[in-house]
Amino acid sequence: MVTAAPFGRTDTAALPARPVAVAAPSPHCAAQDVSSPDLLTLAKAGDQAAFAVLIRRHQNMVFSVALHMLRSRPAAEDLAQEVFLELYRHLSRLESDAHVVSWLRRVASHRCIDEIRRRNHRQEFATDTLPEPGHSPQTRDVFGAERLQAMVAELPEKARMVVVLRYQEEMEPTEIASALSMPINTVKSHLRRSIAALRESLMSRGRV
Amino acid sequence: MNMDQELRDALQRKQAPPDLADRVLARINNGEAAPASNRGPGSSGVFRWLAAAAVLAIAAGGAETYYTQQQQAAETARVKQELQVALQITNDTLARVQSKLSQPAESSGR
Repeated sequence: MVTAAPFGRTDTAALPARPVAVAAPSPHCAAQDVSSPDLLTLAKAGDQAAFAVLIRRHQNMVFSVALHMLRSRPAAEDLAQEVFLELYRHLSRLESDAHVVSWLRRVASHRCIDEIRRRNHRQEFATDTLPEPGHSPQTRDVFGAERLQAMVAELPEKARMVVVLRYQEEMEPTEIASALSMPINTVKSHLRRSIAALRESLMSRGRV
Repeated sequence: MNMDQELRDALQRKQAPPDLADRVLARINNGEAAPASNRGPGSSGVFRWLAAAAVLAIAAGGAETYYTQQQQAAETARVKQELQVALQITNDTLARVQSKLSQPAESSGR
């Protein structure tokens, strides 16, 4: 049994599935040393420390999908919390860490699309999209990246989701089709049209 | 730089708030995420079956009421038509009697 206190603040991005822009310090707790199958088993058994490690392992992925889709940190945080609460409810049905990842991607994606449709929010998130200190991506052109993010945010929600999953998560079109319950040809079409639209938009602004 | 690489750079994963897990756990402990197996009757299969049965019972009751009303309306229309026929027959009979009664009077008057 993992003994780490569930509410001890642990400012960590424990065991990220892939590198993130800014690495956080990673103080150890017992659950962080547990391998994935054991971690899932412990979390299923009600071990909150194990579930906390599971959250920290995947929080950057879920949060980033939401942030790139919604372009609002508060909204992305809220959505990420909801996704992990739903994960907690569905833990008993998940069988492996890979299953957890695909489940999180699918649920986060659908929730983002629902949220965008519900709010029709294009004008709503104007003030909180600026890069924050310590959160800037390690790109050679931060402002170019920001501009590109803003342009991606202008895409229709499903096309935007496809682009985010393709380039943030580096998922293959078949994986995206499965996650979004979408025909593979539709995924490819979204990608092709989105890239063309983004390229055209960049060219019209004097880039590329 | 090509478009694919620019998009990869722009859409890198970002750091989630460090206290996200703590906030999720706090909400779990506030009862906001009861596991599916521990949820109340609102989500159980038995409750859904009971709700479906209640809906079916209401629908069946409504259908029966509607059928009864239709039957009553048809019966009323039938009785009304029979009454009209009876009144017509009575009227015709009275007209014939009236006609017969008036014939001797006319013949005796000659």
